[in-house]
Amino acid sequence: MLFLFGGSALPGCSGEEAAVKPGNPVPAAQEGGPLQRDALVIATPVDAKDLLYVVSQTASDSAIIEATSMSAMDGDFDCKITYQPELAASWQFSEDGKSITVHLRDDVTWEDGQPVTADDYKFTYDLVADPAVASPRLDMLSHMLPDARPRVIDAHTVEFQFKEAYDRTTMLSHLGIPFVPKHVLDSPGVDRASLRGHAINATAPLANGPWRVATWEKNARIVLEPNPKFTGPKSMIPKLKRVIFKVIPEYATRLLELENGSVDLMDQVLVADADKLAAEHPEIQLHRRGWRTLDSVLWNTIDPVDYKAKLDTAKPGVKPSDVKPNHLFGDREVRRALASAVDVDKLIKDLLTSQVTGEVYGRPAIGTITPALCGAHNDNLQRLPFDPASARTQLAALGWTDSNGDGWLDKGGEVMRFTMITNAGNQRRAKAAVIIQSNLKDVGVDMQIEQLESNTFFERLRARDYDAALSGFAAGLLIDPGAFWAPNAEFNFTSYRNPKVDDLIARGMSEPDYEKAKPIWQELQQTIYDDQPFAFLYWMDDIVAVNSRFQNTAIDILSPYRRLYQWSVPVDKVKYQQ
Amino acid sequence: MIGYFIRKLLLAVPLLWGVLTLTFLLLELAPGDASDAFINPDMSPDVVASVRLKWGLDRPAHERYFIDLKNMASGDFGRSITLERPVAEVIAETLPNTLQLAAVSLFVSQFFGLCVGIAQSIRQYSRLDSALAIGTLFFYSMPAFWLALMLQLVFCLYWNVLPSSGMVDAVMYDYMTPTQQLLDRCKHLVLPGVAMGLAGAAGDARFMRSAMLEVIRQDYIRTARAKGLPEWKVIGKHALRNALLPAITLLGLNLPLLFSGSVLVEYIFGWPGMGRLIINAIMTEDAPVIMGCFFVYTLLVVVGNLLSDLVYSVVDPRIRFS
Repeated sequence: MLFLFGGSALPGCSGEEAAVKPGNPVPAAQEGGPLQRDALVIATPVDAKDLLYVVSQTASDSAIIEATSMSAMDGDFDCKITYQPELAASWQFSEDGKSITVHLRDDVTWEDGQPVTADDYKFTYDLVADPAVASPRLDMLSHMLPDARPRVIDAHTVEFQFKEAYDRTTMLSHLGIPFVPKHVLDSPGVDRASLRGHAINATAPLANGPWRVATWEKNARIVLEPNPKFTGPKSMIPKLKRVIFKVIPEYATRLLELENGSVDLMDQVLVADADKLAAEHPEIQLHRRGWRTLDSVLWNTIDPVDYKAKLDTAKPGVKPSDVKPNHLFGDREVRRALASAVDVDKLIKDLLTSQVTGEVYGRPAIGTITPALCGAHNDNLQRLPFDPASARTQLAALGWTDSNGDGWLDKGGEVMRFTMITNAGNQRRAKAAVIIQSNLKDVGVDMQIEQLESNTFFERLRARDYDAALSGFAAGLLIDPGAFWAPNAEFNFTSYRNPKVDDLIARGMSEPDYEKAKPIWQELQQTIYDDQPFAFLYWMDDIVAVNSRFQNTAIDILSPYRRLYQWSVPVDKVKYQQ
Repeated sequence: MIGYFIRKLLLAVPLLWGVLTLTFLLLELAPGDASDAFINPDMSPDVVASVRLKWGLDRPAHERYFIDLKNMASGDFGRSITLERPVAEVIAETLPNTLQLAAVSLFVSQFFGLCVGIAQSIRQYSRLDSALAIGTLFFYSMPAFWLALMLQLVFCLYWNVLPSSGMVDAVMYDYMTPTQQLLDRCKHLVLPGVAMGLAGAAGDARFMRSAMLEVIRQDYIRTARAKGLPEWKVIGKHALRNALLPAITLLGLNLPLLFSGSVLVEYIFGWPGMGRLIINAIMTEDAPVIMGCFFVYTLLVVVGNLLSDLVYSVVDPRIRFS
């Protein structure tokens, strides 16, 4: 899970078909390959930054890397990720499940003609392991034995050895990665500490996949064209002539260009705009990707002032257990009462439901495991009902009553009042905050809203310097709750701790059989939900709009545009002849 | 005159120091630093610590301040923390784009400002004067980002005659002849240039109208008319040249506004200029890039003002710098 914190010779924004003579030639279809035609223009809010897998971080980076590099394995998603061979021709688990032997294809080359070998595979992990590189993928090595991550057996065979067996899908996810070219980067002239500045990462990536980067104009566009040196499977030879990532930061401009045909695809379309596109643009198809993003209210279970004081005076690494509980949210029953006071169904109806078709793009959340992971997600969990009267009664039982008749609950002279922080610039969350404020006011709780600039918001969460926070998360498709619920995890922003949860996480993570792990994850969700460190609000569907002339599109929960090599356009619908 | 310009350039040194100091202070006051970009659930805290060590983010503020100042003074902008590329290289990629946009918007601002101001002054109290006064007030009051969105709506969605983002046609540019490419680039400059320049034009027009009215009442204009000179010559040659001086002052004053305005307009029109570079740098707290950009902006404003001083002496030979 990751934190969220986005006719004439001169065709204008119409994107109209232009009758101009080709200038620069584009690679012709490869011998025996399909006829390549047309271009796909994808609107993206941010430019790619790092095109070496070991340092890449953003979704834009991943999209380009996936197109230009073959990964060891290719994932599919149907209730869980399953892996298919790509660069790896096959793999076998050892009997004890603690080692995996991977056999690589022997026919794949880099764009410069050098073969892709097991040495590249191993070198990729060497770079990830090197602290000088500061790779965000470091965690995937934590289960591997240092001298076998991997061990090269021959030019196209490697063996990975793990300290212990764990969920096999997660194990494979740590293996199914794209490679970096050892013959370019493993030389004395390459400073690993400045790898992000190396041309192969920052300006001129080296492909081994079906596409190559033809043009990269920073913050403007990236043009991919079929890689003429691609030697992989014929089924991966592109059917389109070009794919263009057009960088348009402003949402309104992206939408406008989708409407006038200048771009063919955009994701993260707002519900209201999806209605408009459906009504006015029959040439645009809308796809739903599945439940990836979650909004929740985080209750800080520790006292932020005491935490800061202890941080300032105590040795580093102060534990949440050393800190005074939060005067409001340190009490599990208060959190449960407040959860009953928030009308999640209204939030979904107002914010995530089409006003035209009534289609619903949200569903109530009960935990941080996405409902897309069927089986692991606890579908049978009974949500706390929206019941303001019951919430008042529960709070009264805890001593919070409106003793002076001013409309606000109080206890021992203290009014039940707190501030909920959220990040500015997200309209949905801003509206949600107001609805929650109104819900809480109905039970006599005075909640103030403070919108913060994103960096400041994130810093406040990290410093546990808040009482309540409305925040979003993007769910991972591999279950790893420890990063958010383990007692001292940096991203455990609520400082939640429950030994039973720790035990369930340990058991779930060490269970190699996904089927056997499912009940553990379900119990974990029930336990966390009962404790309500978050008031879980709703999961949101990502809406992707794409021009209907494209066929064989791969738009799913893994990515809004996958396997670009299989996308095609029928001959009678070609828009760009060049 | 050369001595005058050297003195002006020397005066820019304390100005640059002030801007850099203020920028540094603001960055210090903001929470977090560039190493935050490396923080995620999968990243070991040791790695984040090594990133801070590598970039000197663990040093006390005063040490970093003096190191930054020393580097800037020697012309070394350092390396971007998030991009790991020389800041000078990153700025060099984007500066020409911003200058193009600034030049077009300056042209829009000055050209329309002059034309409207002159038209208003020679038809004072007419319906045209009133209509233009309302029009200029309308555009003057409109925020640049709103104007940008409205222009896009009209010219890119309803009429669909102009491009709404980028510097070139993302799809067809690679297939165009050099002439077509040049025209394509010009076409992409229109809307962002107008969005940035129109508000300035409205302000300039009101200024120009007053300046022209002032001049038109002078005796030498009456004399010119009495000599039987055609009206266009009276206005164009005798009145305009004298009324231009305040407009040139405006030119110098407009430069900082142009650069600050470019931040929003570049964002909306997807223009890959320094404005967007700064936004990205601010979001990632990439201090060397932010400092480098502000240094360049300040320098551009100083040079712009010097140029407007130079134009003064060309337009009015009575002005001599000493």
